[in-house]
Amino acid sequence: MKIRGHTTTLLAIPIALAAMTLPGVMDDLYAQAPGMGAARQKLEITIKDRQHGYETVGFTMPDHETTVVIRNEDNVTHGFASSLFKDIEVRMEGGTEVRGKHIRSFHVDPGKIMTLRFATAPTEFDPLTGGAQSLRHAIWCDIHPEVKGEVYVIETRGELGGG
Amino acid sequence: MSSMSLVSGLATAALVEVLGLWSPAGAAELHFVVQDIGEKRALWVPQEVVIHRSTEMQDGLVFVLENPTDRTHAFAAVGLFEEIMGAGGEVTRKPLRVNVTSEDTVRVQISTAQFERRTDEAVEEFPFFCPLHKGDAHLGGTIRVVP
Repeated sequence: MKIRGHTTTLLAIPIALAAMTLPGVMDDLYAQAPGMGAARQKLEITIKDRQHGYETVGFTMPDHETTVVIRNEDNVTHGFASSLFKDIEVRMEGGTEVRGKHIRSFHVDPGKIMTLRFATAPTEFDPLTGGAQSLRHAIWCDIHPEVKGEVYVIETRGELGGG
Repeated sequence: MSSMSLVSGLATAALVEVLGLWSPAGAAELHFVVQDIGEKRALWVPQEVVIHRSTEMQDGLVFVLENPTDRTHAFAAVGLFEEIMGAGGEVTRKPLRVNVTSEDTVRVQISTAQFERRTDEAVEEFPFFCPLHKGDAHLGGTIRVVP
């Protein structure tokens, strides 16, 4: 599910502030804009149990190589489904890819770590305004739909500059 | 197994045989549908299935797995194998464990190699269940292969 409607300013500032409070994370996340020859964007997601759902640290940006590391600390297999993976190539280690009529998901067994590597879609500019918006993608466990979370694709070009 | 559950199981099995379809290729088809039992458990029905080696396995065997729920489920049967046709036409066998996503139906070719040229009267039982939603108690069924 792709959810639009948040402006870059509203979305990016609180997330950026939150990210800056996490030592070590920013080293991976910034200084990685295209053309800077830097490493991938990296998100770390932990599943402790069904009650707490996904704990997500980090975000990615449009048109970026992205690595998502998913740790399953629960005692049952969990899935990781998102519209983010629609129509893109995803390289996976440590899990099982599941394709269905409606979804594409990746399953990770209890106690295991799964890594997904992919390139996010390029920026979509609004044909009317010329601007670009950040995107918020829902993520959910297709085995336990009550386990949910979100992944942010932050657009840094535009109001905040940076691109 | 009590006589009551045996009768119930055989009745279910008979119903399955009546409802079982024959695919255009001649392979016997058995249909299973998964049901959610609360948030943590799931059940594939029918729970009791009887397959005759001498007739239903002659032209192949196909399981049709239907998931009308809003969760992904899996069908695993201990001791049975799935046949997968490779790009080059080669056939490989792997233990039967198939994921079926929400509102999807999957057809699985079951290997009958282990039952070929059998002339004995032995009855074999193969338990099946959803390995993704075992819950606190094992909920599953049994496929009984008879001569």
